[in-house]
Amino acid sequence: MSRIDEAKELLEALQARVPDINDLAIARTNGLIIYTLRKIASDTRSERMLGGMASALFSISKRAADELMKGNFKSLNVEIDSGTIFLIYTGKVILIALTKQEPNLGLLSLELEESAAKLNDIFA
Amino acid sequence: MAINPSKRLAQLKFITTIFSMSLKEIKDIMGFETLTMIFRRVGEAAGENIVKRFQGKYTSIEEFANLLISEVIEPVLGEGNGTASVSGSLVSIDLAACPYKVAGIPIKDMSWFCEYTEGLFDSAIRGAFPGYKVETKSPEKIAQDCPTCKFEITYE
Repeated sequence: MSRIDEAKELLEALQARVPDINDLAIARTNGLIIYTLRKIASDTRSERMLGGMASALFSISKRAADELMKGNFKSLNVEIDSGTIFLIYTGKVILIALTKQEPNLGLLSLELEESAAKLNDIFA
Repeated sequence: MAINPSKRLAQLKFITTIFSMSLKEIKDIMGFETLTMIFRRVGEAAGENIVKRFQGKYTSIEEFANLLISEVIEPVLGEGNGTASVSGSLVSIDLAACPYKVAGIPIKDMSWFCEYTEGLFDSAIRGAFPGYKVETKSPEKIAQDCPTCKFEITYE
């Protein structure tokens, strides 16, 4: 099974377990999308936009973690009136989740962290 | 009206300085990865333009790779500084010089420039041969003190 197939299986299973998730994607830190469920980012333009935004959000968060807190970036949670954007850095790739309004944050963060750890093994 | 060459050079130096200072600020505030993302996307856009420029000029991936060398790489790096070979589903491109290093850019500290080249090759092959699954890797870079830049593009 290819790494992409493994990642696809992982994301599909994750979305099935957490109904609050609208879309999931995996991107390289340079913004290149590796795989997306394509529920929201459903065409090439929106996929490119998602990758670029994720890269910029990750990069500036990582700088803030380093510069302001002398720490390592782990995750970012952007609350919007129509849902939430979650970014988790696995150490290799960025896991991106777009959710519905007022998601179950406890379940979501737990599931995303577990999946991020598995993605790290896949893309090691 | 022709511009005095020394005045033009001063203008270009000014623009280069502003560009360089802007990159430093982006890196300091927004981080290294932001620059890798931007340069990757600029490279992809350049690759898309190349596909349009080469339309009707190639019938195989070998011909396309050779066009990349003769019409894109060599005019910038000089004759003999780029080679391309195709073996099965792998296109290998080797560059014996770095245009940024030649221009005096500290490429080791500004290796986001490499993303431009990788994005260009990736998007050019992807655009020229739609329907193939394309993956581009750059296992060796002059920016990492390797003697050449190597790009490996697989298409299946």
